[in-house]
Amino acid sequence: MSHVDDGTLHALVDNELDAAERSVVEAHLASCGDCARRFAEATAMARQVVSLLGALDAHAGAVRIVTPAVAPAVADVAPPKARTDATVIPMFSRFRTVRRVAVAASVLVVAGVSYQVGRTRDAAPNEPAVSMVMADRASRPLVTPSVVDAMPGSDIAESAPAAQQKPRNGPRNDSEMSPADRPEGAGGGARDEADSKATGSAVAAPAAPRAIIVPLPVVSVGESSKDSTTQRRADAEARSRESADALSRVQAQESARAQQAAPAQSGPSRIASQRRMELGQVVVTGVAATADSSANVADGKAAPAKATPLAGYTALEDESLPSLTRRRYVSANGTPIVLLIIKPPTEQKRTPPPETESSFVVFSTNGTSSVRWRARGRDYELQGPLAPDSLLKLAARLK
Amino acid sequence: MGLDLGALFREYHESLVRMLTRRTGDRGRAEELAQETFARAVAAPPTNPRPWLFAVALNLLREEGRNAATRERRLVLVKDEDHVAAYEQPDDAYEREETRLRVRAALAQLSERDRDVLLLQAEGFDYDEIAQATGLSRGAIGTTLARARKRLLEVYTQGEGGEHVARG
Repeated sequence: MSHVDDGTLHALVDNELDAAERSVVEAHLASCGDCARRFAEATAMARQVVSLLGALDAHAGAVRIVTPAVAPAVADVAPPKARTDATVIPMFSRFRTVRRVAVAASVLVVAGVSYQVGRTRDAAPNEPAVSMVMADRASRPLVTPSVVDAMPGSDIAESAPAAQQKPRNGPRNDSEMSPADRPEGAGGGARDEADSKATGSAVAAPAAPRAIIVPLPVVSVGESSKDSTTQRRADAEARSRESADALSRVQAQESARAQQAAPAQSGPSRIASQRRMELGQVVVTGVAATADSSANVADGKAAPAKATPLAGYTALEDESLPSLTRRRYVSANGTPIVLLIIKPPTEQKRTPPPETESSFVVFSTNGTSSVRWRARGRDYELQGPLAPDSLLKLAARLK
Repeated sequence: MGLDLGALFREYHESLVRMLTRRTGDRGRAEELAQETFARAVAAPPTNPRPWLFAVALNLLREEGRNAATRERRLVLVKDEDHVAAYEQPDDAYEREETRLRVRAALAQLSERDRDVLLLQAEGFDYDEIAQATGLSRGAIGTTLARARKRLLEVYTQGEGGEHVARG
Protein backbone atom coordinates (compact mmCIF):
# COMPACT_ATOMS: atom_id res chain seq x y z
CA MET A 1 0.00 0.00 0.00
CA SER A 2 0.95 3.59 -0.29
CA HIS A 3 2.45 5.35 2.68
CA VAL A 4 0.26 6.32 5.55
CA ASP A 5 -0.80 9.95 5.62
CA ASP A 6 -0.13 12.14 8.63
CA GLY A 7 -3.74 12.30 9.66
CA THR A 8 -4.01 8.57 9.85
CA LEU A 9 -0.75 8.27 11.70
CA HIS A 10 -1.93 10.73 14.31
CA ALA A 11 -5.26 8.99 14.50
CA LEU A 12 -3.36 5.83 15.22
CA VAL A 13 -1.35 7.60 17.87
CA ASP A 14 -4.58 8.79 19.41
CA ASN A 15 -6.11 5.35 19.14
CA GLU A 16 -8.88 6.70 16.98
CA LEU A 17 -8.78 4.17 14.14
CA ASP A 18 -11.34 1.47 13.98
CA ALA A 19 -10.12 -2.08 14.08
CA ALA A 20 -9.99 -2.57 10.32
CA GLU A 21 -8.07 0.61 9.63
CA ARG A 22 -5.78 -0.07 12.45
CA SER A 23 -4.71 -3.50 11.28
CA VAL A 24 -4.04 -2.22 7.78
CA VAL A 25 -1.92 0.65 9.00
CA GLU A 26 0.01 -1.44 11.48
CA ALA A 27 0.76 -3.91 8.78
CA HIS A 28 2.19 -1.17 6.65
CA LEU A 29 4.28 0.24 9.47
CA ALA A 30 5.79 -3.14 10.04
CA SER A 31 7.09 -3.16 6.51
CA CYS A 32 7.88 0.49 5.91
CA GLY A 33 10.78 2.04 7.77
CA ASP A 34 9.85 5.57 6.74
CA CYS A 35 6.32 5.29 7.97
CA ALA A 36 7.43 3.56 11.15
CA ARG A 37 9.80 6.43 11.78
CA ARG A 38 7.06 8.95 11.08
CA PHE A 39 4.78 7.09 13.44
CA ALA A 40 7.41 7.33 16.14
CA GLU A 41 7.72 11.03 15.45
CA ALA A 42 3.99 11.51 15.60
CA THR A 43 3.88 9.71 18.92
CA ALA A 44 6.62 11.91 20.30
CA MET A 45 4.93 14.99 18.94
CA ALA A 46 1.66 14.18 20.57
CA ARG A 47 3.37 13.61 23.87
CA GLN A 48 5.40 16.75 23.53
CA VAL A 49 2.42 18.86 22.67
CA VAL A 50 0.53 17.65 25.70
CA SER A 51 3.54 18.51 27.79
CA LEU A 52 3.87 21.95 26.29
CA LEU A 53 0.22 22.71 26.75
CA GLY A 54 0.62 21.66 30.33
CA ALA A 55 3.21 24.38 30.68
CA LEU A 56 0.41 26.82 30.17
CA ASP A 57 -1.11 25.58 33.37
CA ALA A 58 2.01 25.94 35.41
CA HIS A 59 1.13 29.46 36.32
CA ALA A 60 -2.49 29.35 35.51
CA GLY A 61 -3.40 29.92 39.10
CA ALA A 62 -0.91 32.69 39.32
CA VAL A 63 -1.98 34.51 36.24
CA ARG A 64 -3.17 37.83 37.32
CA ILE A 65 -6.55 38.78 36.12
CA VAL A 66 -5.76 41.91 34.29
CA THR A 67 -8.72 43.71 33.00
CA PRO A 68 -8.05 46.79 30.98
CA ALA A 69 -6.37 49.13 33.31
CA VAL A 70 -9.11 50.72 35.26
CA ALA A 71 -8.00 52.68 38.18
CA PRO A 72 -10.56 52.49 40.90
CA ALA A 73 -12.93 55.16 39.88
CA VAL A 74 -13.27 57.88 42.34
CA ALA A 75 -16.96 57.66 41.97
CA ASP A 76 -16.77 54.08 43.09
CA VAL A 77 -15.27 54.91 46.35
CA ALA A 78 -17.55 53.80 49.07
CA PRO A 79 -19.78 56.43 50.50
CA PRO A 80 -17.85 58.50 52.92
CA LYS A 81 -17.96 57.34 56.43
CA ALA A 82 -19.14 60.27 58.31
CA ARG A 83 -17.68 60.87 61.63
CA THR A 84 -20.30 60.80 64.23
CA ASP A 85 -18.26 62.36 66.91
CA ALA A 86 -16.70 65.72 67.07
CA THR A 87 -13.24 64.52 66.41
CA VAL A 88 -11.04 67.11 64.97
CA ILE A 89 -9.40 65.90 61.88
CA PRO A 90 -5.82 66.66 61.08
CA MET A 91 -6.13 68.97 58.24
CA PHE A 92 -3.01 69.18 56.26
CA SER A 93 -1.59 65.82 56.76
CA ARG A 94 0.05 65.89 53.45
CA PHE A 95 -2.91 66.09 51.17
CA ARG A 96 -2.99 62.42 51.12
CA THR A 97 -6.15 60.62 51.65
CA VAL A 98 -8.70 63.02 50.52
CA ARG A 99 -10.90 61.93 47.76
CA ARG A 100 -14.36 63.11 48.17
CA VAL A 101 -13.50 66.14 50.01
CA ALA A 102 -15.59 68.67 51.59
CA VAL A 103 -18.57 68.28 49.42
CA ALA A 104 -19.22 65.06 51.20
CA ALA A 105 -19.54 67.00 54.29
CA SER A 106 -21.43 65.99 57.24
CA VAL A 107 -21.51 68.87 59.52
CA LEU A 108 -20.77 67.69 62.95
CA VAL A 109 -19.67 70.43 65.17
CA VAL A 110 -20.92 73.90 65.16
CA ALA A 111 -19.12 76.63 66.86
CA GLY A 112 -19.33 80.30 66.64
CA VAL A 113 -15.91 81.64 66.27
CA SER A 114 -14.26 84.30 64.38
CA TYR A 115 -12.21 82.76 61.77
CA GLN A 116 -9.42 84.98 60.86
CA VAL A 117 -8.43 84.63 57.37
CA GLY A 118 -4.89 85.70 57.70
CA ARG A 119 -3.41 82.60 59.19
CA THR A 120 -0.42 81.54 57.26
CA ARG A 121 -0.14 78.24 55.68
CA ASP A 122 3.00 77.56 57.61
CA ALA A 123 0.99 76.95 60.63
CA ALA A 124 -1.11 74.46 58.87
CA PRO A 125 0.61 71.10 59.02
CA ASN A 126 0.01 70.25 62.60
CA GLU A 127 -3.04 72.26 63.04
CA PRO A 128 -6.23 70.69 64.11
CA ALA A 129 -8.34 70.03 61.15
CA VAL A 130 -11.27 72.25 61.07
CA SER A 131 -13.73 73.21 58.54
CA MET A 132 -15.52 76.39 58.77
CA VAL A 133 -18.95 77.36 57.86
CA MET A 134 -19.59 80.97 58.10
CA ALA A 135 -22.38 81.68 60.42
CA ASP A 136 -24.63 82.90 57.73
CA ARG A 137 -24.66 79.48 56.35
CA ALA A 138 -25.77 77.96 59.54
CA SER A 139 -29.18 77.54 58.10
CA ARG A 140 -27.81 74.45 56.55
CA PRO A 141 -28.69 71.41 58.51
CA LEU A 142 -26.07 70.72 61.04
CA VAL A 143 -25.45 67.53 62.80
CA THR A 144 -24.96 67.38 66.50
CA PRO A 145 -24.15 70.96 66.92
CA SER A 146 -22.16 71.94 69.86
CA VAL A 147 -20.30 75.06 70.55
CA VAL A 148 -16.65 74.52 70.71
CA ASP A 149 -13.84 76.86 71.09
CA ALA A 150 -12.08 75.90 68.02
CA MET A 151 -8.86 77.20 66.71
CA PRO A 152 -7.33 78.12 69.97
CA GLY A 153 -4.38 80.30 69.66
CA SER A 154 -5.47 81.74 66.44
CA ASP A 155 -5.17 85.40 66.50
CA ILE A 156 -7.48 87.76 64.94
CA ALA A 157 -4.96 90.32 64.03
CA GLU A 158 -4.88 89.72 60.36
CA SER A 159 -7.84 89.92 58.17
CA ALA A 160 -7.75 88.82 54.64
CA PRO A 161 -9.38 90.51 51.74
CA ALA A 162 -12.03 87.91 51.93
CA ALA A 163 -12.97 89.05 55.33
CA GLN A 164 -13.07 92.64 54.38
CA GLN A 165 -15.29 91.93 51.58
CA LYS A 166 -17.63 89.85 53.51
CA PRO A 167 -19.81 91.96 55.71
CA ARG A 168 -20.86 93.95 52.76
CA ASN A 169 -24.42 93.71 53.84
CA GLY A 170 -23.62 94.02 57.44
CA PRO A 171 -23.66 91.30 59.99
CA ARG A 172 -26.57 89.09 59.59
CA ASN A 173 -28.55 87.49 62.25
CA ASP A 174 -31.47 85.28 62.66
CA SER A 175 -33.93 88.07 62.45
CA GLU A 176 -33.09 88.38 58.83
CA MET A 177 -33.72 84.79 58.13
CA SER A 178 -37.03 83.51 57.06
CA PRO A 179 -38.43 80.84 59.29
CA ALA A 180 -37.96 78.34 56.55
CA ASP A 181 -34.29 79.03 56.54
CA ARG A 182 -33.88 78.58 60.19
CA PRO A 183 -32.41 75.40 61.34
CA GLU A 184 -34.86 73.48 63.39
CA GLY A 185 -34.33 71.64 66.57
CA ALA A 186 -30.96 71.51 68.12
CA GLY A 187 -29.37 73.21 65.21
CA GLY A 188 -31.23 76.38 65.92
CA GLY A 189 -30.04 76.72 69.44
CA ALA A 190 -26.51 76.10 68.54
CA ARG A 191 -26.78 78.55 65.80
CA ASP A 192 -28.14 81.23 67.99
CA GLU A 193 -25.32 80.66 70.28
CA ALA A 194 -22.93 80.73 67.45
CA ASP A 195 -24.35 83.91 66.21
CA SER A 196 -24.11 85.67 69.45
CA LYS A 197 -20.61 84.53 69.87
CA ALA A 198 -19.75 85.53 66.41
CA THR A 199 -21.26 88.87 66.99
CA GLY A 200 -18.92 89.37 69.84
CA SER A 201 -16.06 88.52 67.63
CA ALA A 202 -17.29 90.84 65.04
CA VAL A 203 -17.06 93.61 67.50
CA ALA A 204 -13.47 92.87 68.18
CA ALA A 205 -12.62 92.33 64.58
CA PRO A 206 -15.39 93.66 62.46
CA ALA A 207 -13.88 92.45 59.28
CA ALA A 208 -13.63 88.89 60.42
CA PRO A 209 -16.36 86.70 59.15
CA ARG A 210 -18.20 84.59 61.58
CA ALA A 211 -17.36 81.01 61.27
CA ILE A 212 -18.61 77.67 62.28
CA ILE A 213 -16.12 74.99 62.77
CA VAL A 214 -17.13 71.92 60.94
CA PRO A 215 -15.04 68.84 60.87
CA LEU A 216 -15.82 66.83 57.84
CA PRO A 217 -16.00 63.14 57.33
CA VAL A 218 -12.81 61.43 56.55
CA VAL A 219 -13.08 59.34 53.50
CA SER A 220 -10.87 56.41 54.01
CA VAL A 221 -8.86 55.79 50.96
CA GLY A 222 -5.89 54.00 52.28
CA GLU A 223 -2.51 55.45 52.35
CA SER A 224 -0.57 54.23 49.47
CA SER A 225 2.45 55.14 47.53
CA LYS A 226 0.23 57.05 45.22
CA ASP A 227 1.00 60.12 47.12
CA SER A 228 2.55 61.94 44.29
CA THR A 229 1.87 65.26 42.88
CA THR A 230 0.42 63.84 39.77
CA GLN A 231 -1.82 61.63 41.76
CA ARG A 232 -3.03 64.51 43.77
CA ARG A 233 -3.69 66.51 40.73
CA ALA A 234 -5.48 63.66 39.13
CA ASP A 235 -7.53 63.35 42.24
CA ALA A 236 -8.34 66.99 42.17
CA GLU A 237 -9.42 66.67 38.60
CA ALA A 238 -11.52 63.70 39.38
CA ARG A 239 -13.11 65.50 42.24
CA SER A 240 -13.92 68.38 40.06
CA ARG A 241 -15.52 66.18 37.51
CA GLU A 242 -17.36 64.29 40.10
CA SER A 243 -18.59 67.39 41.72
CA ALA A 244 -19.73 68.84 38.50
CA ASP A 245 -21.42 65.65 37.66
CA ALA A 246 -23.19 65.39 40.91
CA LEU A 247 -24.05 68.99 40.70
CA SER A 248 -25.89 68.72 37.52
CA ARG A 249 -27.74 65.75 38.86
CA VAL A 250 -28.89 67.24 42.05
CA GLN A 251 -29.25 70.79 41.12
CA ALA A 252 -32.89 70.55 40.45
CA GLN A 253 -33.47 69.09 43.85
CA GLU A 254 -31.38 71.44 45.77
CA SER A 255 -33.78 74.22 46.27
CA ALA A 256 -36.45 72.01 47.65
CA ARG A 257 -34.01 70.25 49.86
CA ALA A 258 -32.65 73.43 51.20
CA GLN A 259 -36.09 74.42 52.25
CA GLN A 260 -37.29 71.15 53.55
CA ALA A 261 -34.26 69.48 54.86
CA ALA A 262 -34.81 68.40 58.38
CA PRO A 263 -32.03 69.33 60.68
CA ALA A 264 -29.48 67.47 62.54
CA GLN A 265 -30.27 63.85 62.35
CA SER A 266 -27.16 61.88 62.25
CA GLY A 267 -27.12 58.95 59.96
CA PRO A 268 -26.30 58.16 56.41
CA SER A 269 -29.45 59.45 54.83
CA ARG A 270 -29.17 62.73 56.59
CA ILE A 271 -25.61 63.01 55.49
CA ALA A 272 -26.34 62.01 51.97
CA SER A 273 -29.02 64.55 51.53
CA GLN A 274 -26.91 67.20 53.06
CA ARG A 275 -24.05 66.32 50.87
CA ARG A 276 -26.17 66.83 47.89
CA MET A 277 -27.18 70.14 49.13
CA GLU A 278 -23.62 71.08 49.58
CA LEU A 279 -22.96 70.18 46.04
CA GLY A 280 -25.15 72.88 44.74
CA GLN A 281 -22.26 75.20 44.58
CA VAL A 282 -19.69 76.35 42.21
CA VAL A 283 -16.30 74.89 42.44
CA VAL A 284 -12.84 76.17 42.16
CA THR A 285 -10.31 73.50 42.56
CA GLY A 286 -6.75 74.27 42.98
CA VAL A 287 -3.45 73.27 44.37
CA ALA A 288 -2.12 76.72 44.79
CA ALA A 289 0.59 76.98 47.31
CA THR A 290 0.27 80.64 47.85
CA ALA A 291 -2.15 82.63 45.95
CA ASP A 292 -0.10 85.75 45.83
CA SER A 293 3.20 84.12 45.29
CA SER A 294 3.64 85.72 41.97
CA ALA A 295 2.92 88.97 40.29
CA ASN A 296 2.41 87.15 37.09
CA VAL A 297 -1.03 88.37 36.61
CA ALA A 298 -2.93 87.19 33.67
CA ASP A 299 -5.93 89.34 34.14
CA GLY A 300 -7.56 87.62 31.28
CA LYS A 301 -4.85 88.25 28.79
CA ALA A 302 -4.40 84.66 27.87
CA ALA A 303 -7.89 83.95 28.91
CA PRO A 304 -11.05 83.53 27.02
CA ALA A 305 -13.14 86.58 27.21
CA LYS A 306 -15.41 85.26 29.90
CA ALA A 307 -12.81 84.04 32.31
CA THR A 308 -12.69 85.84 35.57
CA PRO A 309 -9.27 87.33 36.06
CA LEU A 310 -7.46 85.84 38.97
CA ALA A 311 -4.33 87.57 40.01
CA GLY A 312 -1.38 85.27 40.05
CA TYR A 313 -3.05 82.84 37.74
CA THR A 314 -3.25 82.53 34.05
CA ALA A 315 -6.54 81.49 32.63
CA LEU A 316 -6.17 78.57 30.30
CA GLU A 317 -9.57 77.73 29.05
CA ASP A 318 -13.19 78.22 29.58
CA GLU A 319 -15.42 75.31 28.96
CA SER A 320 -19.05 75.98 29.22
CA LEU A 321 -21.75 73.48 29.77
CA PRO A 322 -25.41 74.15 30.08
CA SER A 323 -25.39 74.37 33.83
CA LEU A 324 -21.82 75.07 34.65
CA THR A 325 -18.74 76.77 33.46
CA ARG A 326 -15.36 75.33 34.04
CA ARG A 327 -12.43 77.63 34.12
CA ARG A 328 -8.90 76.57 34.44
CA TYR A 329 -6.10 78.65 35.75
CA VAL A 330 -2.51 77.98 36.38
CA SER A 331 -0.30 79.87 38.74
CA ALA A 332 3.19 80.99 37.94
CA ASN A 333 4.60 77.97 39.62
CA GLY A 334 2.39 75.68 37.64
CA THR A 335 -0.30 75.12 40.16
CA PRO A 336 -3.55 74.32 38.45
CA ILE A 337 -6.80 75.79 39.56
CA VAL A 338 -10.18 74.83 38.34
CA LEU A 339 -13.18 77.01 38.79
CA LEU A 340 -16.63 75.66 38.29
CA ILE A 341 -19.48 78.06 38.19
CA ILE A 342 -22.89 76.65 38.50
CA LYS A 343 -25.84 78.49 37.24
CA PRO A 344 -28.68 77.55 39.43
CA PRO A 345 -31.86 76.40 37.82
CA THR A 346 -34.34 79.07 37.02
CA GLU A 347 -36.57 78.43 39.95
CA GLN A 348 -33.65 78.88 42.24
CA LYS A 349 -32.88 82.24 40.85
CA ARG A 350 -36.22 83.40 42.06
CA THR A 351 -35.42 82.48 45.59
CA PRO A 352 -31.79 83.05 46.25
CA PRO A 353 -31.19 82.82 49.97
CA PRO A 354 -30.20 86.41 50.55
CA GLU A 355 -28.27 85.67 53.67
CA THR A 356 -25.75 83.72 51.73
CA GLU A 357 -24.85 86.45 49.37
CA SER A 358 -22.50 88.04 51.78
CA SER A 359 -20.89 85.06 53.35
CA PHE A 360 -18.48 82.33 52.69
CA VAL A 361 -18.71 78.75 53.70
CA VAL A 362 -15.45 77.06 54.36
CA PHE A 363 -15.10 73.36 54.68
CA SER A 364 -12.06 71.32 55.16
CA THR A 365 -11.01 67.81 55.63
CA ASN A 366 -7.46 66.85 56.04
CA GLY A 367 -5.64 68.27 53.14
CA THR A 368 -8.45 69.74 51.16
CA SER A 369 -10.55 72.75 51.77
CA SER A 370 -13.36 74.32 49.95
CA VAL A 371 -14.88 77.72 50.05
CA ARG A 372 -18.35 78.34 48.84
CA TRP A 373 -20.24 81.44 48.27
CA ARG A 374 -23.14 82.76 46.39
CA ALA A 375 -23.00 85.87 44.33
CA ARG A 376 -25.10 87.36 41.65
CA GLY A 377 -27.44 84.44 41.71
CA ARG A 378 -24.75 81.89 41.13
CA ASP A 379 -23.05 79.46 43.37
CA TYR A 380 -19.36 79.13 43.55
CA GLU A 381 -17.08 76.75 45.21
CA LEU A 382 -13.37 76.90 45.51
CA GLN A 383 -11.85 73.60 46.34
CA GLY A 384 -8.39 72.26 46.68
CA PRO A 385 -5.70 70.98 48.96
CA LEU A 386 -5.07 74.34 50.48
CA ALA A 387 -5.23 76.01 53.78
CA PRO A 388 -8.71 77.41 54.23
CA ASP A 389 -7.38 80.89 54.48
CA SER A 390 -5.57 80.59 51.19
CA LEU A 391 -8.71 79.43 49.55
CA LEU A 392 -10.66 82.12 51.22
CA LYS A 393 -8.32 84.72 49.83
CA LEU A 394 -8.75 83.33 46.38
CA ALA A 395 -12.46 83.21 46.82
CA ALA A 396 -12.56 86.77 47.97
CA ARG A 397 -10.75 87.82 44.87
CA LEU A 398 -13.03 85.89 42.66
CA LYS A 399 -16.19 87.00 44.24
CA MET B 1 -35.21 16.38 30.69
CA GLY B 2 -33.64 17.42 33.89
CA LEU B 3 -30.17 18.71 34.04
CA ASP B 4 -28.02 18.10 37.03
CA LEU B 5 -26.00 21.23 36.82
CA GLY B 6 -24.07 20.31 39.91
CA ALA B 7 -22.91 17.06 38.39
CA LEU B 8 -22.16 18.77 35.14
CA PHE B 9 -20.16 21.37 36.92
CA ARG B 10 -18.17 18.91 38.97
CA GLU B 11 -17.40 16.81 35.97
CA TYR B 12 -16.44 19.38 33.42
CA HIS B 13 -15.73 22.67 35.05
CA GLU B 14 -12.09 22.06 35.83
CA SER B 15 -11.36 20.76 32.38
CA LEU B 16 -13.24 23.59 30.76
CA VAL B 17 -11.47 26.23 32.75
CA ARG B 18 -8.13 24.63 32.04
CA MET B 19 -8.79 24.54 28.34
CA LEU B 20 -10.02 28.12 28.33
CA THR B 21 -7.08 29.23 30.37
CA ARG B 22 -4.72 27.65 27.95
CA ARG B 23 -6.62 29.19 25.14
CA THR B 24 -6.82 32.69 26.54
CA GLY B 25 -3.91 32.90 28.92
CA ASP B 26 -6.28 34.49 31.37
CA ARG B 27 -7.54 32.38 34.18
CA GLY B 28 -10.06 34.94 35.27
CA ARG B 29 -11.56 35.25 31.87
CA ALA B 30 -11.58 31.49 31.56
CA GLU B 31 -13.61 31.30 34.73
CA GLU B 32 -16.02 33.88 33.44
CA LEU B 33 -16.47 32.10 30.18
CA ALA B 34 -17.00 28.82 31.99
CA GLN B 35 -19.63 30.41 34.16
CA GLU B 36 -21.42 31.76 31.17
CA THR B 37 -21.18 28.42 29.46
CA PHE B 38 -22.77 26.60 32.36
CA ALA B 39 -25.43 29.24 32.56
CA ARG B 40 -26.31 28.52 28.99
CA ALA B 41 -26.36 24.85 29.71
CA VAL B 42 -29.07 25.52 32.24
CA ALA B 43 -31.06 27.50 29.74
CA ALA B 44 -30.77 24.83 27.07
CA PRO B 45 -29.77 21.51 28.55
CA PRO B 46 -27.50 19.67 26.15
CA THR B 47 -27.85 16.02 25.40
CA ASN B 48 -24.17 15.50 24.95
CA PRO B 49 -22.72 17.79 27.56
CA ARG B 50 -19.02 17.69 27.08
CA PRO B 51 -18.68 18.62 23.42
CA TRP B 52 -21.57 20.99 23.83
CA LEU B 53 -20.01 22.81 26.75
CA PHE B 54 -16.70 23.20 25.05
CA ALA B 55 -18.26 24.26 21.80
CA VAL B 56 -20.29 26.92 23.57
CA ALA B 57 -17.26 28.09 25.46
CA LEU B 58 -15.20 28.37 22.32
CA ASN B 59 -17.98 30.22 20.61
CA LEU B 60 -18.21 32.64 23.47
CA LEU B 61 -14.52 33.13 23.15
CA ARG B 62 -14.80 33.88 19.49
CA GLU B 63 -17.57 36.34 20.12
CA GLU B 64 -15.26 38.36 22.20
CA GLY B 65 -13.29 38.96 19.09
CA ARG B 66 -10.65 41.54 18.92
CA ASN B 67 -11.15 42.80 22.41
CA ALA B 68 -9.86 39.50 23.56
CA ALA B 69 -6.70 39.91 21.59
CA THR B 70 -6.13 43.23 23.18
CA ARG B 71 -6.66 41.87 26.60
CA GLU B 72 -4.33 39.00 26.01
CA ARG B 73 -1.69 41.36 24.89
CA ARG B 74 -2.09 43.37 27.98
CA LEU B 75 -2.08 40.30 30.10
CA VAL B 76 1.13 38.98 28.66
CA LEU B 77 2.83 42.28 29.02
CA VAL B 78 1.84 42.48 32.60
CA LYS B 79 3.07 39.02 33.17
CA ASP B 80 6.37 40.08 31.73
CA GLU B 81 6.59 42.74 34.35
CA ASP B 82 5.72 40.24 36.99
CA HIS B 83 8.48 38.19 35.64
CA VAL B 84 10.95 40.90 36.31
CA ALA B 85 9.50 41.41 39.72
CA ALA B 86 9.91 37.76 40.48
CA TYR B 87 13.54 37.86 39.57
CA GLU B 88 14.67 36.27 42.73
CA GLN B 89 12.71 33.16 42.18
CA PRO B 90 14.56 29.95 41.51
CA ASP B 91 15.83 29.26 38.06
CA ASP B 92 13.30 26.59 37.38
CA ALA B 93 10.52 29.05 37.94
CA TYR B 94 12.22 31.35 35.52
CA GLU B 95 12.47 28.64 32.93
CA ARG B 96 8.94 27.55 33.47
CA GLU B 97 7.75 31.02 32.82
CA GLU B 98 9.96 31.26 29.80
CA THR B 99 8.45 28.07 28.48
CA ARG B 100 4.97 29.25 29.17
CA LEU B 101 5.44 32.42 27.23
CA ARG B 102 6.94 30.59 24.31
CA VAL B 103 4.13 28.10 24.23
CA ARG B 104 1.63 30.88 24.29
CA ALA B 105 3.37 32.58 21.44
CA ALA B 106 3.51 29.35 19.47
CA LEU B 107 -0.11 28.57 20.13
CA ALA B 108 -1.02 31.99 18.91
CA GLN B 109 0.56 31.19 15.58
CA LEU B 110 -1.90 28.42 14.89
CA SER B 111 -5.14 28.88 13.15
CA GLU B 112 -8.09 29.06 15.43
CA ARG B 113 -9.38 25.72 14.28
CA ASP B 114 -6.06 23.99 14.81
CA ARG B 115 -5.73 25.55 18.20
CA ASP B 116 -9.17 24.51 19.31
CA VAL B 117 -8.69 20.96 18.13
CA LEU B 118 -5.38 20.74 19.88
CA LEU B 119 -6.73 22.02 23.14
CA LEU B 120 -9.80 19.83 23.05
CA GLN B 121 -7.72 16.77 22.37
CA ALA B 122 -5.48 17.69 25.27
CA GLU B 123 -8.58 17.63 27.47
CA GLY B 124 -9.15 14.02 26.53
CA PHE B 125 -11.73 14.55 23.84
CA ASP B 126 -11.97 11.75 21.37
CA TYR B 127 -12.28 12.54 17.71
CA ASP B 128 -16.05 12.27 17.78
CA GLU B 129 -16.31 14.78 20.54
CA ILE B 130 -13.86 17.09 18.88
CA ALA B 131 -15.90 16.88 15.72
CA GLN B 132 -19.04 17.73 17.64
CA ALA B 133 -17.46 20.60 19.44
CA THR B 134 -15.84 22.13 16.42
CA GLY B 135 -18.18 21.20 13.62
CA LEU B 136 -15.40 19.53 11.70
CA SER B 137 -15.93 16.13 10.18
CA ARG B 138 -14.50 13.28 12.12
CA GLY B 139 -12.28 12.34 9.22
CA ALA B 140 -10.60 15.73 9.30
CA ILE B 141 -9.61 15.58 12.91
CA GLY B 142 -6.54 13.40 12.48
CA THR B 143 -5.20 15.60 9.71
CA THR B 144 -5.93 18.72 11.64
CA LEU B 145 -4.20 17.39 14.72
CA ALA B 146 -1.20 16.28 12.71
CA ARG B 147 -0.84 19.72 11.23
CA ALA B 148 -1.46 21.52 14.49
CA ARG B 149 1.02 19.49 16.49
CA LYS B 150 3.68 19.87 13.87
CA ARG B 151 3.16 23.57 13.59
CA LEU B 152 3.11 24.15 17.31
CA LEU B 153 6.38 22.33 17.82
CA GLU B 154 7.99 24.03 14.86
CA VAL B 155 7.10 27.45 16.06
CA TYR B 156 8.01 26.57 19.59
CA THR B 157 11.47 25.26 18.78
CA GLN B 158 12.46 27.78 16.18
CA GLY B 159 10.36 30.55 17.58
CA GLU B 160 11.18 32.53 20.64
CA GLY B 161 12.94 35.59 19.26
CA GLY B 162 11.34 37.51 22.04
CA GLU B 163 7.87 37.52 20.70
CA HIS B 164 6.10 36.99 23.91
CA VAL B 165 3.05 38.84 23.04
CA ALA B 166 0.35 36.52 22.06
CA ARG B 167 -2.04 37.31 19.34
CA GLY B 168 -5.51 36.09 19.85
